[in-house]
Parts: sequence; structure tokens; C-alpha cells
Amino acid sequence: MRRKRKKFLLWIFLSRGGCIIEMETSQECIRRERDLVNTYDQYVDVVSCWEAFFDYTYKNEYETFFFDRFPKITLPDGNSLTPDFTVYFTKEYAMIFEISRTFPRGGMKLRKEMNQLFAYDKGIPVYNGKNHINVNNYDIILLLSGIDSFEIANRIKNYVEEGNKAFNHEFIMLEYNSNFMDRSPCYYFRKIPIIESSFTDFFPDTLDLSKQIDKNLGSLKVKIEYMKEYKINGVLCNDCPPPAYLAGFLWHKIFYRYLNIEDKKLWREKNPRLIIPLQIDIDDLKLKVEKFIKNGRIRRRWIKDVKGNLYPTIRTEYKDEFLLEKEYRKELSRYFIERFCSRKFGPPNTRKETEIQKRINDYI
Amino acid sequence: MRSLIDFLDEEEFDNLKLRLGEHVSGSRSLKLSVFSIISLTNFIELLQKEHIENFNIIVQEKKDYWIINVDRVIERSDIEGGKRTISGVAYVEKPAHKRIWHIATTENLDFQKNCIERMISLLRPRISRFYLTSNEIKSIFSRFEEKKYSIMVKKAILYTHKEEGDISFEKQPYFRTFNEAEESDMYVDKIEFVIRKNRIALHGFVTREGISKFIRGDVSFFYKEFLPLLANYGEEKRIKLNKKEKKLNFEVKPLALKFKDKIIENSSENKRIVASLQNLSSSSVFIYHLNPYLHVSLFDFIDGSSCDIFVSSPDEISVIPSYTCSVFSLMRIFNQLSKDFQEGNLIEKEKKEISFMDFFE
Repeated sequence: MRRKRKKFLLWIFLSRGGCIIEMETSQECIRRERDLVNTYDQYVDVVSCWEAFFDYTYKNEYETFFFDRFPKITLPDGNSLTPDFTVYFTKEYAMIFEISRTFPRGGMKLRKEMNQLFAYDKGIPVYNGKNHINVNNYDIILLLSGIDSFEIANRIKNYVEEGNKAFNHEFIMLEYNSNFMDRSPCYYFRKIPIIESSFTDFFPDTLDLSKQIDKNLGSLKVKIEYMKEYKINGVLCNDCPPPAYLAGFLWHKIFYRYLNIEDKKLWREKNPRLIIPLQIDIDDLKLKVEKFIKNGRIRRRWIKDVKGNLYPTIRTEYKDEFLLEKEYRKELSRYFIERFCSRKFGPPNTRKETEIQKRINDYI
Repeated sequence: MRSLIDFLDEEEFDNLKLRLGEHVSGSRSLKLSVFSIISLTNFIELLQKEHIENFNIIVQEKKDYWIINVDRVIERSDIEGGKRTISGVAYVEKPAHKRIWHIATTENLDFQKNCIERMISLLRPRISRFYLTSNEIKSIFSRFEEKKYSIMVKKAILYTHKEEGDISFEKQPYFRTFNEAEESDMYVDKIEFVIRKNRIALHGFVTREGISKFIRGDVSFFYKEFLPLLANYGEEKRIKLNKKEKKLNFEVKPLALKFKDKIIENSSENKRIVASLQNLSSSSVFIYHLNPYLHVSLFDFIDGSSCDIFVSSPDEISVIPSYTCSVFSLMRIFNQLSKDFQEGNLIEKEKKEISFMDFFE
């Protein structure tokens, strides 16, 4: 998965011989950060859907089953690969997943993206919960957003064919869509039959994924109802979360644990201006977050990123200080995003603009 | 006028009750107000141990009840002299249900609001109020109807789920009030009623926040017949909401507000649910996913409780408590959703068995 953040959006309009350069405004920043939160949440949903599916169906069949939501595979040359998630069944078989919402059209960027997929193809080890194991066989699965999945799949096919390249492992492309019109909203995944490939024939008949997806061209349908528990326990996915996303989680689930009895008493009182400075060691915070996440292994820089973006310390003598500011803001993601953008661009232009943002209806 | 204090020489609660009942029944202005609460530990011990700032609470133990003398000093610049003291007496019967306690007083509204309610509020989350849905209040009356009592409503306050109030002064059989509420998509907030069989058994008052009043009638009926029914609903909810925190092994215990009909049919209902949660005092909401399915995280400032709220079916809102999530906080959330969105049944969700083919149906 790729998440790009440009520091400035530079739009150049050529008009009647003149040149108008428009910088990103606070409002655009808000919109962009909000999109990042929404996109990230969709990735978390997709990972959680697959974890739910595997957990309900295969976990009890294979004693050694392990779903790794945060894989990091260190290669002999010291570089590391971070697929979006991996599934270890036995030393005979595993799956490696990558999720892409967008895909480069060509040039260096496309090559880089494809190199990453081909890097997964080079006999990499898969984590079984204890060690990285060189399994006999694994499939590589690319999950593409249904919006332009066929176009991307064709791009990938052309790249492979034009370069006379081939995958050694099965390389399967699935598209994901959501069906929220149904009374039981769900995500569904189905094969994009552009490149000839199929899941390895590893499972017994009753759990034959290949039969359902490759032969019957069926859709794997994961209801939100099944997925939600996995989303709550998984919290993140294997990519740096947008600061507002992680900040919301820290605020709601973690920071309260740093308060002592006296702080908690103060906190209970109705004082929205209350600020309690917390001395937090980043490694300790990382550990606390990981305890909250099932098999959680997150990156230190994700937390540093939140701190840098959303919790600027006003007391510079403390290196790792978070300010637990008691705000009665009723929609925290919006609050964090606005705060982030107003630090960057100054407060929104008009009073009216600020007021509008407070309403939930304007979130849509 | 004699107050509760005149009766406090009684050692046994039954005797106190009878004397009080006669006294209140004979008075036009006195009412016996009862605050029913959930206390997860011994409420009296909690009162004795806990120092509440600006409160002076003296507990006196009798044979089967306690007398509580409460003084509270309120210091504020807008009060003449800078401060005032409110004093009063309440009594607490040894509870039949271990966790449901009734705090009774005949003192005025000032004492009730500024002493009793404030004391309850400051002892949160160790004690919690509980709420009664319109259906639960109705079923209390139905139980008496089954026993051949007639129940008339004297006054009722109904609210729409958008907090528009409607006061009905029409004297009518109880079921009409509840039918009206249902037909107009309103909930019953407060109700003054008369239960009678030949003579008045209870002229009383009850609110959805678990406050009831004995105005006149038979005080034993109030204590032995009416309050236990009310307490049952509190206890039922306590059992459902207790120990629902996520376990260290990541096991979750989801709860849900289940509606009779499929009422969450479009995204505007999700927005209403979020707006309802945003109205919960001292809390913060983080929206992960708004449309078309809803996922919201809620954090309670009062005790640090948190939970995740999902809407993925048209007939229920599920609430999944996190590692810290008290009965008190869950009660607040369900009450809020019931008031501002829609009343439903509070249920504990069982994990379903899901097969491989369920993913390919």
C-alpha cells in the first residue's frame, strides 16, 4: 500500500497569458487529511475482512495457522519487505497479500511498484508467530480497489508481458468492493481474470478456496458483522497511519492509562481547558499500543509521526511530552485534522467556516 | 411541619415506613422521593470511606436500614455571603437486590438536586443511575393490571427523540399514554399515576432515570410491590452490562440495542446516531466510518471508559466495550441512544458459528 503526502499542492492555472499559482489552503488540507483517514480506514477494513475469513474457516484446521497483520521480512542484504499481511498455514503453504487502491501508470513508479511485487516472488520467509519460516510454497495475492481494478490489472499484465517476466509463484489479482446496499453490509472480493493463475490446491474439498474463487468465479463476501471484532482488535494495518487516525486511537484507548489517581480526579471535573502534560517515553507508548493490538508489532516512527504532527510540545525542555488536552470536541478526527491543518496554514479564514465544520452533517 | 427527622427514633424499617406513609399521605406538599441506584460495592461503606469535597455525611446504622445526614456547603460568589449550606436527611433500606439501593428522602427539591443527586454524581462510576424504557415502565403497570388493579395516568411528560417535550395533563388509562407515545415516536420521560383497587394503593410518580415518588396510598405497597419491579429492571441491566470489558486475550463481549423494526435504513439514520452520541455529556467521539456502515469510537471522560459502536444491520446498534468500560458508562450510552435515537431492547450478543460456505453464499 502506498500513501503519499505532498507538503504543498501546487496548482498552476494558465489564464490569458498570466500565471496564477494557487497554494493548498487550510480547507483543502482538511479535505486531503480526511481522505487519508477514510482511505486508511478502508485498508484496515480490508485486512480485517481477510483476518475474519481465515480465522473463522482455517484457524481450527491448521494448528500452526498464523495471521500476520504487521509483517516485516528482513532480507539477507539488510533491506526489508513489508507486505500488507501474510498468512502462514503450515511449513508447506502460506499466502502473501498486498493491497493497492491506486497503481502508477508507467515509468519509474510503475517499475518500483512491480519490483516490490517481484521481490515477494523471490522465496521469502513467512512469519509463523515465532519465527520466519521458508515455506515450500506460497501464493502472492494483490487486492485492488474495484474502482479501476481491470485497468490496473491490464497495466500489470502488459508490464509482465512486455518485460518477458513471469512470477514463479501463483500471482492472483482480486478486486475488492463494498456492498452497503444490502441489509447486511459487506465487502466482497472476486478474481480479476486477466493473468492466468489460481490459488494453490492446498486445502481440503470443504475449504477449497480455489474452487470457489478460481473455478466458480465466486465472490468471497465478508459481512461487517463478521469483520468488526477483527477491526477492533487489529486497530491498524501495516502502513504508517495518518496522524489523526492514530491520534484518535491513542486518545481514546491509551492516554488515559498514563493518568495517576490525582490526574483522574481532575480529569473527571468539567473543565474543558484542563491540560495535563504527560511524560511519555515513545518506546513505552509503542509497547502499550502493541499490547492493545492482537499480535501487534508497530513501528516507532508511526508514533513519532503523531507526536510531531499533532502534539507539538510547548515545553521544549521535555523531549517526549504529549499534552493531554481535555477538549470537549465531539468529533475527534475532525478536531485533530483541523488542528493539524491550522498549524500548517493558520486558522480557517472566516468564523463561519469554523462553525460549519462542527456539524456532523458537514463531515459527509 | 414534621419532617423525616421526627421519625428517626424507629429501629425497624417497617415501622418507619408506616409512620412515614401516613404522614406523607396526610400532607398536600410532602412526597417521599426515592433515588434507585446501582452500587457495585456496599453503598454505605462507600459513603463512609469516601471523602467528598464540601460534603459532610454522617451515617447512622439502625436495625435494617441506615440514616444518612448530609450537609453540603456551596461556595460561590453569586450567593449572598459567598456560601450556603444545604442539609437534610435520607434513609437507605438494606437492599433486597444486593446491588440496587434505594435512597429515600422527604426533603425538598433543593436537597434532592444539590445534595442527593450531586452526591450520586460525585461517586460515579462506583455507583450508577439506571434508566427505564417506556416499555419497562409500561410493563410495571401491566403487572398490576394483571392483578386486577386499575391504573390511571394523571400527568405524563413525553419526549420525541429530538428532545421536544410534550406534557399531557389528560387523566387517562395508562395504556393510552403509552400507545400515544409509541404512535408519535416518543418516549415516556416522567409519569404521575394512581394505582387503585377499591381504594388508592399508590398515587405515585416515576421517571425513566429511576426516580420514584410516593405521594399517597399504601407505603408498603410502594416498597413491596412497586419498587422491586423497578429494581428488577435496574438489576437486569446491571447483569447485562457488568464485566463486559475486553479480555486480555482479545475476547470481546458485544452488546446491542435491538429494535423491533428495521429502522436504520439509510445513511441519515447513521448521522442521527452519531449526533445522539455527540450529545452525551463529558465524552468524545471519533468517527472511523460513517457511511454506509457506521463505526465510531466513544471515550467517556468521567471514568476513562471506551467502546466501539457499530451499525451494520438495520435493526440494531452494537456496542463493543474496550478494556476499560464500566457499567456506569455503558448505562449512559444506552440511555442516550434510547432517548435521542430510539428505544430498543438491550441484549448481549452471542458469537455465531460461521462456516466456510457462509462466506460464499
